[in-house]
Amino acid sequence: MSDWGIFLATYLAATVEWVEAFTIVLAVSMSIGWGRAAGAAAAALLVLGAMTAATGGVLRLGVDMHWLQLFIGVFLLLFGVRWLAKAVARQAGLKALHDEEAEFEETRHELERGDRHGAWLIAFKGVFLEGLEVWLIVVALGMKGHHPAVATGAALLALLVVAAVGMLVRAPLRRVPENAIKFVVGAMIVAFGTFWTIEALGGATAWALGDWSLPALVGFYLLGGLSVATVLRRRCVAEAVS
Amino acid sequence: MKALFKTLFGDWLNLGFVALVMVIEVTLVRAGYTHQAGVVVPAFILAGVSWLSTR
Repeated sequence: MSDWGIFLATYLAATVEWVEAFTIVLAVSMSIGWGRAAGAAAAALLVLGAMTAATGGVLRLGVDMHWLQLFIGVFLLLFGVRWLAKAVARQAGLKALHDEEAEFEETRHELERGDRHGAWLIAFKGVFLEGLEVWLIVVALGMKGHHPAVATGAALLALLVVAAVGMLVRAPLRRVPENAIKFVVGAMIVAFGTFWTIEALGGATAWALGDWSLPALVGFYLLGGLSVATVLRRRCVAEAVS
Repeated sequence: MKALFKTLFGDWLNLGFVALVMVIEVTLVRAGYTHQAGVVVPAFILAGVSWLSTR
C-alpha cells in the first residue's frame, strides 16, 4: 500500500480520536486549570509514545511475517467492523450522532462530584483510552506496511492540528464531520483487515487482483455500508409511519 | 479493565462475529477455496456489519 494510503487512514482515524480526547481535557481544564489538565494529557501521550516505540522494537525481533500479518489483520477487523457498524447505525438514524457538546457536559457533570486528583485521572484516562485506538492503528498500518514513520507522523500531525484548533476556539470541536470520517476510515480498516488476514492464510496469490483488490475492497465496504444505511433508514421511516 | 477491553475488542458480539469471520476464512482456505474466500468473506462481513448496526 502507498505511503499516502497509510497516511490518510491514520490521519483521519487519529483526528476523530484526538477530538474526543480534547473534549475531555477541555472539560477537566475547567475544574483543575489548563496546566494540570494538559499535564495529565501529556503524561498519557508519553505512555502511548513509549508503547509505540516498545511495540515497534518487539515486532522487529524476528516475528514470522505471516503470523504478524494475521494478528494485525484480526485486530483491524475487530476495530474496523465496530467503527463501520456504528457509522452505519448513525447514518441510518438508529443511533444518535456523537455529540461533543453532550460529552463535554457529561464530563463536567462527572467532575462536579469528584476531587482534583480524580479530575487529573479523568483527563489521563480519557487521553490514554482514545489514544490507545490511535496506537492500534499506528502499529497495524505502520508495521505491516514497513512505514512506521509515516503512520506515526500522521498521528502526530493530527494531534498537533486538533490541539492547535482546540486551543484557538477553547470549545468542543463540533464541526468535525465525525460520522463521515468514521464511515471512510471504518471501510478502509475493514478492507485492510480482510485483505491481510486472507493473504496471511492463503499466501501472496490469494487475491486474484493482487494489490488492486485493496481499493476494490474499500469501495465495496463504502458503497455497501452506504446502501445498508439507506435500506435501514427507509425501514425505520416505514415502521415509524405504520 | 472494562474500558480497556472495550477499546481493544469492542463488545462480545463484535468479538464473536470477528471470530466467526476467521473460522470461515480458515475453513475456505484450508479447503482450497482461497480465491472464493475473497468474495465470500467481504459479503459476509458486510452482512455482519448490517446486523451489528441494528444491535
